[in-house]
Amino acid sequence: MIAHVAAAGEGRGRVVLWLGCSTPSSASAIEAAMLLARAFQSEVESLFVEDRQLFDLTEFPFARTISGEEGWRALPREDLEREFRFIGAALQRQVADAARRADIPCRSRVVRDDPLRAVASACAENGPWNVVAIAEPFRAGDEKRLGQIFADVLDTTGVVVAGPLARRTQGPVVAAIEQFEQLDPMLRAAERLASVTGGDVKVMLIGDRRNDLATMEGQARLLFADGKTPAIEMVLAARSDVVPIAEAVRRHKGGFLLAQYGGQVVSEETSLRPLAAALECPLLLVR
Amino acid sequence: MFFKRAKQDKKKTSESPPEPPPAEEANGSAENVETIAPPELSPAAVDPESLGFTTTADLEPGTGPVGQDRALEALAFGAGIKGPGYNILVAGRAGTGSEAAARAKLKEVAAAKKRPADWVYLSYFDDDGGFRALELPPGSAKKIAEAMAQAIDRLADALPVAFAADDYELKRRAIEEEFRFSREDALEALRREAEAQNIALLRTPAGIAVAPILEGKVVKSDVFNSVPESLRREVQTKISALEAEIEQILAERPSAEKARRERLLALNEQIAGRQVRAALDEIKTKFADVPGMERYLKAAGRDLVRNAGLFLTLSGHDSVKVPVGTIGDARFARYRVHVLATTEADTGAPVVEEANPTYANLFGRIEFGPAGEERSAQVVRIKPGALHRANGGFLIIDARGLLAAPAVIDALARALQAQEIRFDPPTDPVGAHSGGIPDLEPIALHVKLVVLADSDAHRELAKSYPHFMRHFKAEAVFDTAVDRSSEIIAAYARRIAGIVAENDLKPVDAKGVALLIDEAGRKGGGNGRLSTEIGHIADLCREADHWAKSAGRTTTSAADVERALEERKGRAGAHGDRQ
Repeated sequence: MIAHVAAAGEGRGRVVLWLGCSTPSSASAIEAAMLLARAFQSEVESLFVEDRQLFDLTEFPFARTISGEEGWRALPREDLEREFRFIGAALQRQVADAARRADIPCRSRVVRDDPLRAVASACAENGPWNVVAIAEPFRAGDEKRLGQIFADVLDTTGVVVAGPLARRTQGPVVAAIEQFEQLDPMLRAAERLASVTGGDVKVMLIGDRRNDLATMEGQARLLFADGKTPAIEMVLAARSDVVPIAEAVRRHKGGFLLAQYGGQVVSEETSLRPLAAALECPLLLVR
Repeated sequence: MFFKRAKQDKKKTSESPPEPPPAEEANGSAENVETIAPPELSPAAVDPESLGFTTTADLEPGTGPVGQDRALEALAFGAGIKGPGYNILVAGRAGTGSEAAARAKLKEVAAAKKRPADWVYLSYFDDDGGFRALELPPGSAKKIAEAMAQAIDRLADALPVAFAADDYELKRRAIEEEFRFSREDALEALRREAEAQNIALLRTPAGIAVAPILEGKVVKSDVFNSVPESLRREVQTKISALEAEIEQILAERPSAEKARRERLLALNEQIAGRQVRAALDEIKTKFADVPGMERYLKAAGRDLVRNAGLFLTLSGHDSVKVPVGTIGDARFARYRVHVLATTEADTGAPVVEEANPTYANLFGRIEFGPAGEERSAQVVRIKPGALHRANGGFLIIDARGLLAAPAVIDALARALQAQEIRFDPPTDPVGAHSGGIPDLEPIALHVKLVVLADSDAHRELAKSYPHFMRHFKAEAVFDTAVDRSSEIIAAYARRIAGIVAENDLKPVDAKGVALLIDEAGRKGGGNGRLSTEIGHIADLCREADHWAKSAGRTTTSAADVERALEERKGRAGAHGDRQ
């Protein structure tokens, strides 16, 4: 867990910012990567991945690509290389500018590989405590991609994604807690993040049964008995029903949302659609 | 006879240049006056003794022309009578006081009349760019124009802020994303369908590509080429079919696109509508009792909401504010309230004089702003003409100016006939745009036209423009001379006292007044009639006053009048010599 990294002073890992080329990058995701690096005194590795499979495709005589604006056109290898080169340079420049503004050490790299393998390799280079930030805003069907990252990129503790409506990286950090055991580490991570987002921490307890929620709230209040209690909100939501959670997220107007991957908020089985329509800030998903 | 005496004086003057008066003359005593011999009285001369006063200071100052009772009665009749066609022709030689008398009478009548209604032009907000004329309570036009300008300024501030607000931006993006999601959903479904057939939809820098896959990876071409041709063909057929479906998904979907546009439009109208209502409500409340205002404000509100984009230039999250004084910007000119006629409080009906009666000066003019890339030139200002300004009152025009512009006479005749001001210039008025003149609704004309003409102009108008002259049922003809009588002489003396008072001159003594009246007699032809050219007598009064001052006298004497006459004669002679 990333909070553990900060506390243990072990090899800090990096924020690996995965740059793709299929859709315009999310400025919020890039900004979130910088904030995360600052919160955990880490650095950013900007990784532009040229999907090797596309080069394999160019070997076929029928290889072509279509866009809404241009229609169909052939996809020769030279064109693909050139386009990757230009897009990669532009994106790296955008990230370098953001890093300079945030005063974050930033290294940039271009690799031609299978995207997931490239990200996994980058994370494996510097200890297990990495966070992958995906620069492209997530979209319908990305549930699977997120699942693949958590499954295949072993040396990562979390993934940062931004929705298509993301526009805020400042303000309260909302920690979505589905199990009491998550509360303490999530809270610590949220506090670290809140130190750079300029807001306080809000705890959102999520459950599908009222009794369980009440119990979790009681335990949380006991945990905070000695110190300052953050704002706690309970969200009753049936399993696989993301809408009440999305509504609560929208209401909080957070600068960052923390949630555990595989739970009710985001899982491979849960549609990202309601969250995409409600989330105005980056989402840090932790294992 | 004093003319002879004057000649002697002139001779004396020509022999030696005039010297400053001796110091002892400065007190203006009777002895000093006697240094000039008193004039001989001719049978027709006015006897100073008969005048019955010492100086004009003893008299009640008279105003207006002398002995023009019939003309003044006609003027009063013309000014006072109601009904079409009772416009006034004032005929008289310059200096008879006809123009001053007309002005004075018109002002007097106008002051007693009700303030006329204000008039404004307002945009129709239609594609033709026409303007509707709206009649308003007296004095309210400028207030409404100002209120509208302030509302536009307020919107220039408020709309960019409203459209830059989080709330709007989020809603707009949500609509866009929803539209995009529907496309993504279709692609995602296709991706799954393709994967089941071992075909992948891949994202490329330029869009989407379709590739054959094996175990989730794109098949290498050499592997693909090694499979039987029938299988390769089958894969290519599947790929072609999928490509066709992708093409359909990515192609513009008219119904979805229409729905997206409608929702964005509704959102824009919701955001803009709130601001526009807030800006216009104040005007609506303030001028609730003005007929036609509510209708106009509704139309303006609809147009403002539709064109809210004019007030902002959205670029991502940024907005550029329109500078203050927005109504002056050609883009917003259609919201300008063009004040055509208005009056100040306690002023009665207007009396307007147009010295240069061109079409534009009488009927107004239209000024256009620059044409933009996507719009034609906008009317930025409709300037009123004298007819608008004088509507409900009197318009004084000089006949000579009119005769110089025959087309204007025809236009005026049409306006008087139809009793409306219709903007229909004979040629493009100065400032008009070649793209065409917008349609201006005619304004009801309730003006009394007063044409000042000398006898030549009067004749010319009557001869060449009978269709125009038939609208002048009142004629005030000022005589150039009147029969001499004791009453007329007394009136003349009072009028001279009036000239002295009006011009802040020294009082004229009785002998001086007698000389001045004698001069009027001479101008009148010497047949017992007195000239009515008061202007000439007024000039003599001023000049005599000058000589009295030079001589250090406190009263203008006969000697000063005589010198004024002599000097004038001398100047006229010199002028003749030069010619």
